[in-house]
Amino acid sequence: MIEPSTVVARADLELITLAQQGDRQAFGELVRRYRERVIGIVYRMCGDMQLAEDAAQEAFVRAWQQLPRYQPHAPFQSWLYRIALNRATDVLRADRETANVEDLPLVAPDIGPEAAAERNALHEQIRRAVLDLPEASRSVLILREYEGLSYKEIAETLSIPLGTVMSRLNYARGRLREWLSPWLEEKV
Amino acid sequence: MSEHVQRELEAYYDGQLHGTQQKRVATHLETCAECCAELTRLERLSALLQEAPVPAARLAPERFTTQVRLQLQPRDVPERRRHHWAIPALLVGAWSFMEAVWLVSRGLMVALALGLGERPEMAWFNPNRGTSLWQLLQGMESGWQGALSLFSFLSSTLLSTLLPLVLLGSISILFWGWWLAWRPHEIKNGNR
Ligand SMILES: [Zn+2]
Repeated sequence: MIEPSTVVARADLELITLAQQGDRQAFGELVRRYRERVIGIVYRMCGDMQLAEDAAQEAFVRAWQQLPRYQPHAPFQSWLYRIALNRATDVLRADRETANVEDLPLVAPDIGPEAAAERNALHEQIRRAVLDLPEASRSVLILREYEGLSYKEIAETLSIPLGTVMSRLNYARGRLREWLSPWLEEKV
Repeated sequence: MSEHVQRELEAYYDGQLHGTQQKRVATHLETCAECCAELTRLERLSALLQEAPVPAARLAPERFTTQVRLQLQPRDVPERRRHHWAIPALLVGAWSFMEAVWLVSRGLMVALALGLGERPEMAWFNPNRGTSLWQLLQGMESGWQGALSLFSFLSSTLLSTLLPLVLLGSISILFWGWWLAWRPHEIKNGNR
């Protein structure tokens, strides 16, 4: 399990300070560092890679605009994730029909077509199960299961109480266990 | 056997329990198969969720970063520096106000000179109450009284001419002072 640090790494902080003063190169370095995680979160939220990349770019542009108001005592990661999640929510609102089943992930070439089909079916099932969760519990689940954030960090990111983090996570896991039960039992 | 720990199990699994709470759950798990099975289910769900990968991004990392950078607008001047612009803005505002007052008063004087002031409703405004320099000079002949009114006329004229000059001068001195003191900072920060 990953336990990301709650404090902003020193180098990050320097880049943030420079970026706050208008240094685009420093901000570019921050984009490079957080790109993958931000895209990942947005992808898990909306289930479409193209949308996710566009929304992630917009999230970074928004972060640049809002950076002067960022206070370094709050974790930068939480602050950035919040912007990304808000952007993902906007995208979902604007494009409800994107949750349909297309755009399957590429199949690894070294497995047979049957195994590939099976694996794709599993990936798809998981993706859809996550997407079928209500947005509120989906974001908590993504931050916990895929980003490894602590409850406290999730609470900060989403501006919700710790108890709400726990109840939403419990709800999300309960639903997923129900929906994905064939795959969970199979492995016994 | 101690009480089941279903309620705390999830937080325990997520590594969010500490101290005695954490110890209590751990101790319970040593002896309770039921709670152990529940813990295993949580582990299994996490493992299953990890099997769905994020597909490869369309854009290479460098391309993505470049595209973001191209969309970055030069940022507004941060609040810390914004009020430095208030100084010249205030000075320019004061200067414009002075200019406006000066223009209006000149305009009124011209109007008065053209005889508009002779209208009864405007008469109160005429600062010289119908006296002209010529009349005052003539009044010199009538001794002290005339000299006094000449003196008051000259001093008020001097004051009304000099006062705006002094104010405008100090405004421009302050403005150029700001320019010399702050412009280098602004230029340096703006070029980043
Ligand atoms: Zn038990």
